[in-house]
This record gives sequence, C-alpha cells and structure tokens, in this order.
Amino acid sequence: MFGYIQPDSPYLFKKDEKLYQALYCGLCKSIGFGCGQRARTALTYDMAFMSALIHNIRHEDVEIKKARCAIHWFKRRPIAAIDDTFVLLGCINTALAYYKLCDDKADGDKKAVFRHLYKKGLKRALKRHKQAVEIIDEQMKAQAELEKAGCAIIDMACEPTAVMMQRLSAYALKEYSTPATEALFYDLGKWVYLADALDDYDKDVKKGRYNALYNAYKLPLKAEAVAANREEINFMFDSLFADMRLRLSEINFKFNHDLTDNIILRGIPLKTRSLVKCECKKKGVKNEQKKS
Amino acid sequence: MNKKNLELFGLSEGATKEDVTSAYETLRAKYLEERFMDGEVGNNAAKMLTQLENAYNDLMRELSENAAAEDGDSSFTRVEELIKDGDIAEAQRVLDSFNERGGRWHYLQSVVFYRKNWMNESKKQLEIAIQLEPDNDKYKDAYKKLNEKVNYDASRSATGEQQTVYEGQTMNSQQDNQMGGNFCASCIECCYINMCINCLCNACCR
Repeated sequence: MFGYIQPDSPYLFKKDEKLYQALYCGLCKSIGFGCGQRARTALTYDMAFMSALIHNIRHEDVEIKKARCAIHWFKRRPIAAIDDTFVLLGCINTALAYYKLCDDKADGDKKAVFRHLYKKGLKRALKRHKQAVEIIDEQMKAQAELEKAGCAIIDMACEPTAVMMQRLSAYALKEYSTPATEALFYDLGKWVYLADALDDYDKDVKKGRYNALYNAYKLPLKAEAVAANREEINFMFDSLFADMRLRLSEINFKFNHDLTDNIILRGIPLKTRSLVKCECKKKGVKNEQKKS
Repeated sequence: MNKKNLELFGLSEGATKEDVTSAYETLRAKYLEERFMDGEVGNNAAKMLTQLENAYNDLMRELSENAAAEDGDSSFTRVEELIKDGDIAEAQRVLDSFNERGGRWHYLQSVVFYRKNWMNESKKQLEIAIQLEPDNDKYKDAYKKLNEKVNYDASRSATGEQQTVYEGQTMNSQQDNQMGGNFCASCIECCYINMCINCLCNACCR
C-alpha cells in the first residue's frame, strides 16, 4: 500500500525537492525518537508527503538544519527538526507498517515475518498515540472483513482505508481539521487503495487473493479489465482528482503549498495513468496466446 | 425483534431507537477500553465488539423497517430530510428498508452515495433512475451535473486567493510538447546502475 504517492519530479521545484528530502530525514529521525531504531526501516516518502500537508495546514513551520545521520555520515544533509507532528506521523507510519504485514500474514505472504521488527515500535506508538493506533486497528479489521466477504462494489471496498485516512487526519490536525481536509484525506486514502488494487491486479489473480477491481470486473488480466471498463475507470479516477482539486482550493494553508500541489495535482494523476496504461500489456497478450 | 440482540444490550421489547443507540454507545466504549488488555479479557472484548456491531445494525434495520411500513410514502420525504441534515448513515438505513425500488428510490440512493463520495456507485444508480423514468428532467439534470463535476476546472481554483502553479490533470491528459521528446533520465540511470552492478558481480565471481 506504500510508495504510490510520488511527485512529478521533472516539474518539482528545486526548493520543494530539498524540502521533501529534509522532511523525509526529519521523519526518519522522529521515528527513531518516538518508536525506536528498528521502526525506522519502515520509513516511506508517503508519510513525508503527509507531514508536509499536515504541518502546512496546522500552520506549523519546520526548522531545517544541516546534520549527519548514521546512514549518511559522510555528507551533512538538511534535516527537519523533530516535533510533535513528526512524532505522531512516525507512530502512524510504524502502526501502518505493522498492520500491513499482519494483513500479509493472513494472505500467506512470507514477508510477514518482518512484522516482529515493528512489534516494539507499535507498543511505543500505542503509549504515545493510543487513539491513532486504535483507528488503524479498527479500520484494518473492517477492511479485512470486507475482503473476506468478497466485496464486489469498488467504492465500498475502498471505504475502510479511506475512512482510516480521514479519521487519522482529523486526529492529527485537531482544531485545524475542517470538512475540506477530511474529504481530501478521504480521497487520498481511497486513491491509495485503488492504486494498490490496480498495481497488484495480475499478482492477486494469480495467487487467488482478494482484489477489489478483479471482484468487480471478473476478468483474468488487468489489460483486459482496463480495456473493457475504460470509461468507468476513467470516471472513477477523474471524479477523485476533481474532488481533490476542489478540496485543495478550500483548504487554508499557511505557507506556499507547491510541494503538495505537485504531488496531488500532477504526481497522482501521472502515477494513475502509468498504472492504468500498464506496460505489461503486450506480454500479457503473448502469454494468453501461448495458453490457447 | 430479535430477543438475543436485545438481551445483549440489556433491553426489553418495545425499546426505541434512542434506547438502543445509548446502550450501544456505553457498551462499545467499555469494550474499546478493555480491548488492549492482556489475555482473556482483551480477546473477549474484541469478540464482543463485533457482536455488538452486528446486533446494533440488525436492530436499527428492524426498527427502520417498522418505521417505513408505518410511514409508507412519506419515507421518501424523510430520506430527503435526513440527507439535508447530513445524517447519511440513517438515510441509508431508511433506504435499505424499502421493498419497492422505483426511479425515485434509485435517485435518492444516488444522492446518498454522492454525499458519501462514492462517485462510481452514485453514477450507476442515477443511470438506473434515468432508465426507469426517462422523462424526469431532474434526474437528467443531476446526471449532467455529476459529469460536469468531474471536469471541475482547475482554473476556478486559480482565480481564487490560493493560486497554484500547477494545473490539475485528468486521465486523458497528454504529455507536454517538450523538446527532446520527454527524455527519461531515470531509464538511463537504471541501465547505468545495472551495468555497474554487473561489473562488480563478475569481478567477485572470478
């Protein structure tokens, strides 16, 4: 579920690139501070993006300093100083990584043994932000239940993940949370889930796992499913992008929001298009011919 | 009503919606607290939570069904009022209790989905409504608006206070006409790294 949120890097300003890296490093340090060193391995750029969004909406500045860290000891890098928001996001990141791996375990994935890496981190996260961990726990369980029941309505299958993001945002933003921010985070959660389903389509079908899109379209190959339902898929994503644009214009930011704008307005549509287009199209057709 | 469900909440026959909701909330809060305890207590609490959830939904559905049967046609107005008040969950519950599902039902269901941000389902329901009642202009108008919303213009946000340098994109956005044909540096980088790794590995093997 991680790693789909990416900027459209040719269009990313240098200033934003530096800020993004500084936030990434700051988040990494904060995870170490809040959840222990082992949890730092679960670091993702997705959370760095969230930290940019949440800091900005909460009207909080970050202090960036040049410093070294254990991995990058050779050259000093710009690193954002640890603050409460970072620590909270670090806790969320650790909890998400842990529950994601637990979910993998239920699917019989071997990767799942790594969840022991984050067990201690989760305990520390639970101590710091019990409510956030509870939200994740609850929604992940709801998601697993829906998947077990074989939900075939795409919008319904996305609901738990989207609601999880929505409620986490409300928890993180506190008094700055508005209907617009909640809706934006809802859309982001929904998009992440859909992107994940789209990306894993062929893999899930092969291994016989649940996939929301497969359950809705019942076609064995992603390329076929996309070709047969292009209009619906385009509508689904376009309506999501449109809603994100609308919400973005309603949110009151303190600083300029070029970094998050780049990701939401360009990076996310770009990633979706590349997922939908699927370079494996020819390969898939070939395989099909071989079989027949 | 199901006696087992009622007993779970410690209520008796004839309980109203408010009774059920308040009992549900107190019990739920209690088990949410206990859920993170060690051993049997925690496990039990987790089990009870799912049971509570199911029982609550069942009871609420039954109560809504009763209400719908009593009200008859006025239920549609009730759904509309609920939507207006923003109580989407309750509106959905009332809608679920309908047996006859005509064009108006599908239209209201579409509105509920729209409010929940389930755009895809909303569109589908609206299409059914239009199919059932092709002459209804209200549905057609809503359908047009729904499709227009997708093309929510980025320029509209640009005219506001918060001007952005990036324009929104859609699924059909084309790549810019860039000199050099959008040359992708990361592909070359990837090749280069592969080459380096290859060199290193070969050196080790010999």
